[in-house]
Amino acid sequence: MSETPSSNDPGQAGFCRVNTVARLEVPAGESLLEWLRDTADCVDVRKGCDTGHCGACAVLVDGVPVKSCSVLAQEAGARDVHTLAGLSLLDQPATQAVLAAAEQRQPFQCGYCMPAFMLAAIALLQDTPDPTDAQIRDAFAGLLCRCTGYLPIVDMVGLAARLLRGASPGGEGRTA
Amino acid sequence: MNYAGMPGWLRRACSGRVFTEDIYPEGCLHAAFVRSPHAHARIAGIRTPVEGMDGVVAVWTADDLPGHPRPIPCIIPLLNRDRSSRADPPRTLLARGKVRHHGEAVAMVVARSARIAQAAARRVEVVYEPLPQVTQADLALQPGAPRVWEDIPGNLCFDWETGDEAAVDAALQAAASVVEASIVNNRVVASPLETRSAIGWADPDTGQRILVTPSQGAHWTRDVIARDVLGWDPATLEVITPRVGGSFGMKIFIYPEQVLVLLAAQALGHAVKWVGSRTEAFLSDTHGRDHHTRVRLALDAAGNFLAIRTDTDANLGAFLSNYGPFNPTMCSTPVLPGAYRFGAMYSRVRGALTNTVPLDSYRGAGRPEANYVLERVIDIAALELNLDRAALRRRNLLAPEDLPYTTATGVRLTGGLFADNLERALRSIDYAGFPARRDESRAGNKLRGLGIANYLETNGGMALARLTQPDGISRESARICFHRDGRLRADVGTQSSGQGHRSSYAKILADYLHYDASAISVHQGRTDRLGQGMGTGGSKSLLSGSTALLQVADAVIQKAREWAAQAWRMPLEQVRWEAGRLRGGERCFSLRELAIMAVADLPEGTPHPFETEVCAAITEGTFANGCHACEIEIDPDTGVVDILAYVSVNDFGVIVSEDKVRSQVMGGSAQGIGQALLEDCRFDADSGRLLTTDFGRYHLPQAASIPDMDIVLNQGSAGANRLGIKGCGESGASAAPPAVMNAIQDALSTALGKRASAIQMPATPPAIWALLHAEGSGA
Repeated sequence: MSETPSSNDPGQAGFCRVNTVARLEVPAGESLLEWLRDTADCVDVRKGCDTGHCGACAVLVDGVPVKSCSVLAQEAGARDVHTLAGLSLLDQPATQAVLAAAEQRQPFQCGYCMPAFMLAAIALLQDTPDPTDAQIRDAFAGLLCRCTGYLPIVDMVGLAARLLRGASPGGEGRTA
Repeated sequence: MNYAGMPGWLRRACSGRVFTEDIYPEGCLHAAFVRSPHAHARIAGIRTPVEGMDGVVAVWTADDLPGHPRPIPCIIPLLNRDRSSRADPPRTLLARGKVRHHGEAVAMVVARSARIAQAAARRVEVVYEPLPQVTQADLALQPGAPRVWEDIPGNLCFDWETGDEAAVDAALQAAASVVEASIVNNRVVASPLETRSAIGWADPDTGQRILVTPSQGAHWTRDVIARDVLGWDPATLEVITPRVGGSFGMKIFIYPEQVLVLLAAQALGHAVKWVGSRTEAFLSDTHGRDHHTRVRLALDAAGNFLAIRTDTDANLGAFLSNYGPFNPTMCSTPVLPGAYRFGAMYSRVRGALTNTVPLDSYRGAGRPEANYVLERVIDIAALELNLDRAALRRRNLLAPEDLPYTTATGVRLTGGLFADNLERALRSIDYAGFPARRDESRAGNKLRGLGIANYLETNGGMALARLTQPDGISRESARICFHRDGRLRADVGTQSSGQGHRSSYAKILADYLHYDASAISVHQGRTDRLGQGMGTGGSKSLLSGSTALLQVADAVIQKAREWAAQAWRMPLEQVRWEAGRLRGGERCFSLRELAIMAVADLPEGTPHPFETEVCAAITEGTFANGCHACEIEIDPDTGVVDILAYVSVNDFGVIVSEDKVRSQVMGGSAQGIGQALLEDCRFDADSGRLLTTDFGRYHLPQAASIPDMDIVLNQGSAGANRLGIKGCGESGASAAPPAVMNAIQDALSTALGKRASAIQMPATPPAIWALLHAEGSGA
């Protein structure tokens, strides 16, 4: 997440930067999920279970996928939080590759879990641009999809990885 | 409803692009429910000290609900073996006098925020006097079991039969072999990731009532709630179904919360919203399956199937959901003989009332249960009689020369690639090479098994229509209208919850009308846009939706011809629709060009002269069929099952959208794998409380546990409809459980011999380990 503006400013501990632009005061006692949906208007963050098992509420906190139902909003103080809607504004190769692959493959059905899987895929490809099938499935541990049987989503990440390598000068340039 | 005059939140709902929970009406109030912590208890008193609490607007119990609502009906008529009618316990919106399952709603609190409503609901004091409870069907039917309803003896809601008992019993007597087994179709929770939710509103200016809610058909939801429960003219209620986050049958049905937010909205003059939590979903969504079946299969000395008999105890829950009794009976037994030659069949089903949330259709609705019983008893027969499983199936499957064939249950099969599906699956899984692979696994201290399972589906909603429609005919509605720039808008009465119907419909219309697909928009979930609609269920949407859309497209072409004949001053018969163009004399136009011309001189707002709505009859159902095969390995030290290979061969007729069909097979198979290996609904034996109330205790398959799938679309047998299609959405849920469980039996048989057939779903690691290490197992 090196492209993301840093917000590690100790004076900003009680504030959280959401989707690059908004810097909002975080309250005490609310989960990050509740705060993102109810106050920060991030309705692309989904509430699937509230117990940390389905992962539909995943967001990126300083680039790392986090289940927002299971952390307090205050824990995101002085950090960058990204939801899928905000990430798509960024010109990052992994993000662009995942968005392009999703557009091409249309791997989701109902789409309720979509933001979480997209964020997990982006985070995976940032660190591991050439993941194995097992690494992709591992990156989805703790995320539930009830519609697709996961296979189209795993396939989409494979395509995104190929697009990423083809697109970035440092990649292997291997194409599908 | 006038779209331009709608509040913004309602326009968002009508867009179909957002989930109900993401819609926030201005000034919206929020509902929360007080739910019973007991499976069975008398309500001795309810105190609602929250009425003066800051932010609390209203509290209702069953005794003070406005509007005298009637119980939510079960719409399935059913006659017992003695020709009397089934019992009909009333499903009231809130519990009155007694609670009959853990999670039953007792009171509703409405407040200015969801959090206040939930906090207030926790402070409502209900005095319960717990009563003895029963949650299992077989126990509920035993003499002396606690009674769920005082006036329903033995908790027996119905005792139903079909088939020829005398012929079957004679065949069982005379058979060379009779194979008997007890088969459990375990109770599962549909668990779409979007929970149920609802927003009620009554427009203060017009009096129009609105319900925004995820459903599988807005029209049916409107009709049952308005006509049957509230006694309203259905025209006074519009139901809008926005985007739906998965449904799997469970969201077909009418639930108390949908009616209660409407009543509250009407009484309070504000929109009222409820979004269920995951725990509420486990406690109040209809559950699926939960059938316990004793099956007997009669074979002659050569291995020909003679007859099959099933005796099933089906759990219905504490009251009947809308289709409840349909799933284990008329929706299930027609496919019990599968695509095999059987001389006779007989099924008896006892429907038991228990202290659990009601059960109803879950992906397949009785057909997966029947396919499971049949395909399991075939493998148990092969194990007991030392027969080859593939050869046993091959011997009894219908061959092309047998068609058309009327099965022992009266299903008339006119086409189907039954035998070919099996052979392709066997080749793809390398059935012949399996013994060598089994030996390899054995050398690594692993138990390897291969399972095969055929499946047969009945799709089209025909059985349901016979029971519930006045003339017994399945129908669907569609409307086509045109914007001034020629863009085409289609409305259809089916309801997608992720299947992608809209793009398939757009493709069908684009091909048929020679229209640019990007100029076609397809809409659903709007009672204000379309008079009727049957909704989605039973893998019928592409069939019923396309039938309606093609019929309305024909009507539009006819109107376009009539308009052109008048405009061009020529007889109608000289205006022809040929190769996607309307031609008359030297003139030749596309439908879109004509649609633009037809309104060029008309004032803005005039209905388009080609606009048409039809209600089409669906005259023929479809019979999807196929064969799944899988290979698994069991670690005997842990009981963990690893699926190594998975093959799915399917006869879905003509394919419209291949990616979407494959995705349906993968998703349905993943649910079937979940039912076979993981999904386990458990109740506390002492209290009857549901123990599995979150995803930490009720496990769904994750990405790592679903194998890659070799999916074959075996075309060559068209469905009996204009496109030649067959239903596909539920097939995976029918085929995967027996394929996986047959593979597990096969693997266990190397250690346990014939006792391996005792394995039941869900075959969790502890269950497998316990069977392997039971006294005398020799493992």
